[in-house]
Amino acid sequence: MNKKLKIFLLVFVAISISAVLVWKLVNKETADFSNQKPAKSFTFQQIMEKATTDSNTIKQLKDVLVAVNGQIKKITKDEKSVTIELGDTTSMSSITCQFDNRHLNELTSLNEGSQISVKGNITGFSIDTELGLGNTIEMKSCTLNK
Amino acid sequence: MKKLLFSLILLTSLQTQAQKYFTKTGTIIFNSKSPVEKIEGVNKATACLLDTRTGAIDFIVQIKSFVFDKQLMQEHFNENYLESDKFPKANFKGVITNHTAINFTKDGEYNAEVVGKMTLHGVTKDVKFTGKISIKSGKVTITSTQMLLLEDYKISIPNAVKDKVSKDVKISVNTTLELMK
Repeated sequence: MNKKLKIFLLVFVAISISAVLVWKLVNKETADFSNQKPAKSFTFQQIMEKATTDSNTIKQLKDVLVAVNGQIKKITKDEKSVTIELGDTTSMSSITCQFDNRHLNELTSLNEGSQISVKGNITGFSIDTELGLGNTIEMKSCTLNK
Repeated sequence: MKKLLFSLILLTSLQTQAQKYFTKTGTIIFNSKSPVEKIEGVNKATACLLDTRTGAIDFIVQIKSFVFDKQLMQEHFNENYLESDKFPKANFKGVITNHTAINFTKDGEYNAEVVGKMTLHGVTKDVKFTGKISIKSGKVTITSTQMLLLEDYKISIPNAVKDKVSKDVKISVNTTLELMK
């Protein structure tokens, strides 16, 4: 094999590998937490109280996989998504959990009023003093915490 | 007389309560055109409050709650475009100008015009939207699709993708509100 052909083959292989790596990076799906163990676990009351009394709580929990156990207050669903609200009827405060749409088939037995343990990423927290919506913690990429 | 007065106050108070509709699980879809691929983020945890008596309407959106199919897209949306650590929320505070023409107690569909202030990426602008309001079985559904110019909100597109990403984005709202009890 002559030298020119060797160089051509090396360059071709390097470009091909780079292209595959870039394609994989660009098309990588968002994280799936279904098989990961949560780093922190709370009840609805615990996390709501922590977030309300210490504003740093949510900042510290950002990008951490958190599990929350609570009562299902409301289920909002369509053919492609399920979002539930955790909370109780005594207060407007709640946790909204947008479920990972890759795991919707696991959510066949959701009922309002029943207890559930979910895990996911916390995306924000609102203390509402103006509109009467109560305090809200938002989570996304949620799956059942089995 | 006292009983009558008490009943009137109670009735007025109940009526005032019955005029507010809300949700914390409304949908907002962010959609940007690109010749290469579809850029779409979906937020299904949008809070909205509507006061049918005054027409006042509020939306509160956590930017990090937008979900994208692809990890890199989601990271770019939060880090490079919307800078969600610096500006975690977007909100809209406005009023439905023709709310008196809408019968919120009866099933039906109406065109609505909304004016107000929208804050996104730390920039507040006066905006005017049009949309539809549907009333069905005591629930109020708001749908609207609007185009936003990124530069109006000081959202800059990195030079490397300037020619590949659209300068405006489509924002679609579809949210069903329930009576606040």
